[in-house]
Amino acid sequence: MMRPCIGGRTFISGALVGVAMLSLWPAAALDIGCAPDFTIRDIWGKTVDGAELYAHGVVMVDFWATWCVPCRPELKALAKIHKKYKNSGLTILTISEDGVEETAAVKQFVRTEKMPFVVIVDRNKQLMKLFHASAVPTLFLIEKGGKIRATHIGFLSGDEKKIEKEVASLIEEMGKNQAKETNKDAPVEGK
Amino acid sequence: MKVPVPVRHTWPHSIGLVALSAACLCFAEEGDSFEGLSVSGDNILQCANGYRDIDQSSTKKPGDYLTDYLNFDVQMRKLFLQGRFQIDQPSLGYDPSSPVFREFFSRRAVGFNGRNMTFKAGHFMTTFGRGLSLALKEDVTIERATILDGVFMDVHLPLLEIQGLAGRSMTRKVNTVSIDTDDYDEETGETIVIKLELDNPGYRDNIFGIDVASYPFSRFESVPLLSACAVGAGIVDYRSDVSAIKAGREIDTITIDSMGVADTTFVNRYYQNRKNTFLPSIHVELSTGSIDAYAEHARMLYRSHTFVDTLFDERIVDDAESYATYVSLGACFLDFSLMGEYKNYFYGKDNNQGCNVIVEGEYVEPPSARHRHIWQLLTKHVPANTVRDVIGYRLALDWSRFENATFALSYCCGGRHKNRQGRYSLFTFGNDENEDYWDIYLQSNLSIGSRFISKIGANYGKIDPYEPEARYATVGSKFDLGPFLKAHSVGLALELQRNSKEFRAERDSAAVIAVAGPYTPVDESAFDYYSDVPDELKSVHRQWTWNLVATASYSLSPYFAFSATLEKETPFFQGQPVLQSDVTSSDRYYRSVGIKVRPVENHSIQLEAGSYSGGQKCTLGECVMVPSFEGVRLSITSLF
Repeated sequence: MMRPCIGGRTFISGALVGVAMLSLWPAAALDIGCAPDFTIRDIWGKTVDGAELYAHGVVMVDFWATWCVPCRPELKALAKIHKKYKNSGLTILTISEDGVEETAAVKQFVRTEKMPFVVIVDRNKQLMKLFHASAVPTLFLIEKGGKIRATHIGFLSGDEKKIEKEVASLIEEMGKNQAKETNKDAPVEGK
Repeated sequence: MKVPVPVRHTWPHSIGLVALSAACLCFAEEGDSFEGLSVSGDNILQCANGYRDIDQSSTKKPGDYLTDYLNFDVQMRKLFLQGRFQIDQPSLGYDPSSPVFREFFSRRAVGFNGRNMTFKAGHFMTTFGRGLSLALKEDVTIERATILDGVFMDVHLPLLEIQGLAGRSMTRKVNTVSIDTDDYDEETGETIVIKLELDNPGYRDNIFGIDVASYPFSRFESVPLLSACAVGAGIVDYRSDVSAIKAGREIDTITIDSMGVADTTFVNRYYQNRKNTFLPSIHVELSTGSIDAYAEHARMLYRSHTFVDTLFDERIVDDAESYATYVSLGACFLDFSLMGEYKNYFYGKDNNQGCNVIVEGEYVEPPSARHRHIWQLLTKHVPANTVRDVIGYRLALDWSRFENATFALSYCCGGRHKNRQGRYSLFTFGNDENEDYWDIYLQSNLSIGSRFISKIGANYGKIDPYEPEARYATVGSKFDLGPFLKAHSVGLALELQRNSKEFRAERDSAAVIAVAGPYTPVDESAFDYYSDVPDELKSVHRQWTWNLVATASYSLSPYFAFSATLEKETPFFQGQPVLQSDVTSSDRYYRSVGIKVRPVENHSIQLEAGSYSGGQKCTLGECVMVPSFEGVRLSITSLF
C-alpha cells in the first residue's frame, strides 16, 4: 500500500556522522516525521497493520506499562476520547512495554480497566524502537496518511484536554480533506 | 586432552534461512520501486563523574566517563540499515587498570522490512512463545542484554507466523570458569577450600531455531470464539563448546587442619564443557471474549554433554533431560478479573548447572541435620514498591466495581530467579533458585481525577530461603499528588513502605550452611527431621523498617522541568537471626536533583546530580527505566 506521508525525517545524507551533526540543529515543532510501518498481532491474536490504520483515519499510538502510575489516568482519559470520536475515524492503539512474558498480566490489566482499545504487547521493545520512544507514557497523534502531528511524553493533569483538542482538530481537517476530494470527484453541473 | 565432540557451524542454517526469506520475498511483496532515503534515530551523549551500577560492587566503575550512543535507522523503501555506534570511555582519569577508549558498532543489522515479513542479518533479539525455550531481551537498568549475531526472519501471514534464526551469542567473550567451594570434614577436622578462576580462551556456540504459530481461525473474525486461537511449535538447537586449555595456571587447594595450620597446593588444570542441546517446545493459546488460556511446554534435551575436569579426574559424557511448563488462565465475570499462572522448571541430571538445589544443614547441640527440597517453581509477582521480580505461583483477583478504584488480591508460591542478571542469560533454564516461598498481596488503586492517585499495597508471606522461619509483611503506598497549578506544573510524589519481619526460632535454629551442588533427587522424608534446640537459642526476633521515596517536581511543560528526589532505604540485615553480632544494618540514602531543558521538540538536555537507586522512575508524569548511578551526569538526547 502506498504511503503519502513525506515527513521531516526524510532526507538524503552520505555520512552518518553528518546526520548526527544535523540532528543537533533545531527542527520544526510540528514536522516530526512519518509513523513507521509495522504488522503485528494484538493480545487477542488479531493482525494489526500500521499502514492500513494510517490509511483509514486518525490514529493515536500510546506506549504504556502496567507498572506505570501516570499511565493509568492517561488510559482512562483516552477511553473517554475514544468513546467520543471512535465513530469519526479515530483508532487508538496502545502498546504495552511489559514484555512478552508478562502477557497474562497485561490481559488482566486490560480486563480490569475495561480498556476498549487495540492492545499490543511490544515484543523486545521493537515498536518502541521504531517510534524512537524512550519513556512511558508516550503518545503519538498521527493524521490520516501516516504523518506524526504531535507527540506527548508523560501525562499531567490537563493534558487530556490538549490531546482531545488536537484529535478534534485532526478529525475536522480530515473531514475537510475528504469533502474536497469528494467535490473533485463529483461531476461538474452542466457538463 | 581433547574430547572429539563435533560442534557444527550455523552457516548451513543461515543459508537456508536466506533462501527461505528470498522465496517469501518473491511471493509476499508487491515489488514497489525504491524511492528515497529516510534516516531516523537518536543520539544520547552522556558525560559523567561518578559510579555506575552502585548496587553491584563487582561492576563498580568510579571516575569520569563519557558515552555516546548514536542509534540510527536508515531506510530505503523496505530495506533498512540499523545500528548503534558507541563511544565508550569508562574512565577519563589516569587509572591504569581502567579500560581504554573504545569506538565500535555495538549493534548493527541490515535487512528487509515488508508488510508480511522481516529479514535481518546482524544483531537481533526475539522471544519464542512466552520465553520458555528462548528469550532474548534487554534491561537498561542493569545494562544487560542477550543478543544473537546472525540472521533472523519473521514472517506474518494471515494464518501463519514464522520466526527463524541462526547465529551465535554475543556474550561469549565474557565467560570465565570459576569455582569457589569449601568443605568441612567432621572426622579429620579439616577444612578444604578450593578457589579457582580460569580464563576462558575458547568459547564457541551455535544456535539455530524456528518457531511456527498457526492461527487457523483468523479468517473467521466474525466468530470471536474461534479467531483468537493459536497453536505453535518451535525448536532450538544449541551447541556450545567451552574450554579452558591450560588457562588455569594454578588452583589453590587450601587444607586447614584441626589445629588451624594451612597447607596450600597448586594444581594445573584443564577444563572443558561441550554441550549439544535441543529444545523443542509447543504452545497453545485460546482467547474468547471473557476467557483466555495459554499453555507452553518446552523440553531441554542434552543430546551430548561432555564435561572434563582434570583436577577431579572427571570425564562425563552424559545425556540429560529437563523441562519447563507454563500455563496461564484469565477470565472476567461481573466486575471481577481473575488470572492464574503456573510455571514449573524441572531439571534432570546435569553436572554443570550447579546451584540448582539448596541443601540446608544445621549443626547444633545435639547434632541434627535437615534437608529441604522442593520443585523448581517460578511465576511472577510485583511486590509493592520494589523492582519487578519473578517468583512463585500466582493467582490474582482484581475487582473494579467503581470507576476510579481497583482492588487486587494475589497469592504466590514457589521460587524465583537467582538474581536479575540471571534472567538475561540465553536460556532461562538453570537461572532460577529453588526456594520455598509464599506471599499474599492486597492492593488498592484509587484515583480522583488525575490529580490524586493512590496505590496502597500490603503483603504477608515467607520470602527468604535462608531464614526458613521468617515471616515478612509489607505495607506500601504510593501517592502522586498534583500538579497543583496548570501553567506551572508543581508536583509531589510520595512512595512510602513499611516492611516488617518476624523470625521465629522456637523449634530450630543455628548456623545454616548453604551448599550448592548438582541436582540429586532425594526422598524428602529421609532427611526432614529436627531436634530440640536449647532454650537459650530459642527466640522470636522482629525487625521493621520504613522506605521512603519523595519526589518534588516543577515543570514549565514541555520546555523546562526540575525535580528533586529523596529516597531512604533500610535493608534488612543478612545473616542468622539469632546471631545478633552479624547484624550489619545500615541506612542508604539516595538524594538527587535534576534539570531537563527541551529547547526544541526533538532535543533535550538533562543535568542530574546525586545518587539514583535505579529501576522504574516516575517524575512529572513520565516513567523511565534507569540504571543505578551516583555522581554528576549530563545527557544530551537528540531525536532526528
